[in-house]
Amino acid sequence: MDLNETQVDFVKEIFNTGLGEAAVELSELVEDEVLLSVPQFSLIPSEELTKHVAVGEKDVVTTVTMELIGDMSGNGMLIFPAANSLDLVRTIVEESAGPENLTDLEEEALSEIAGIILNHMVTTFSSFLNINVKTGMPRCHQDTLRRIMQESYFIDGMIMFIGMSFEVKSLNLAGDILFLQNVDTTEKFLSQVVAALEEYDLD
Amino acid sequence: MKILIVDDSTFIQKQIRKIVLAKYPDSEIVLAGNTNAARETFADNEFDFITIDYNMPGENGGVLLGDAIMRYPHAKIALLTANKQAAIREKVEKTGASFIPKPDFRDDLIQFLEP
Repeated sequence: MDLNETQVDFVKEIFNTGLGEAAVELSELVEDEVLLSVPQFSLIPSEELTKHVAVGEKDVVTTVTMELIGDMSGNGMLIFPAANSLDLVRTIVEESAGPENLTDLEEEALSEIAGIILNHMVTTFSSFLNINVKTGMPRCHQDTLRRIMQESYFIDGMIMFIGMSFEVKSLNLAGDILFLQNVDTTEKFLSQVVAALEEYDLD
Repeated sequence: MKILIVDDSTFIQKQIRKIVLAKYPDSEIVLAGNTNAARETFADNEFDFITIDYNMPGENGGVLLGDAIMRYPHAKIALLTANKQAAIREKVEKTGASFIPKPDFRDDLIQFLEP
């Protein structure tokens, strides 16, 4: 199913709205403004995913993934460059985090961030599209994005790619946000988009 | 009544246009998809109302907001955005412009469109 310009913009606006809702909570948590990108939306071959995010082929990244459960299946994923998350950990998890327990605390902190963002986005698109979707527990991985995708979330063929990014400058924190669905789920999602947009009765 | 709508989303442009035309059926509406396109309209137009999105490709709408206020001191100008962080809202309110949050902006926009 191909979407026209307004339908594509509707999808982008749904995710833009969800990220905006998440940014309110996130900015209160980190006590700083969260800079947001404009959403991208496209159908791409799964092997081209790494070309659409700002990480190199050999870069080790930390991902936090939450499964989508309900009327729409798939995965929401945050990709964090494997950079220094110590400031983030100190801000939202524990003031006295030391190097010996940083890995666990870092996963906890990044999972917290991912949970805020993905849950707001899922709540928002469920509301826009009149569907019922929940999120599973966050799962953390650290590897190259290609290996994580191959070993944990391999989706063959064409996938729906919805990508955004956010940044908190004071914490040196940035991440890419992806929603990945396979072809069957994508068709259902796009049908919901068309139906929901018709209710707006726009020219 | 002449209105400039600055938003990269045709979905939002159409929503705003529908609300504006319901209130002012004879209004003239100018659309711009980014801040550069909006500035190009500044040379030849006098606007009564301007709505500006914040998150757009390229420059964000916050910079344009300041320019629009300087260019149109007598117009009613609003930042109409899904980015509802307190820092952004406070910056907008300091300028004297209106802040209209998406996605349920119909009632706020109708109120903003009062002369």
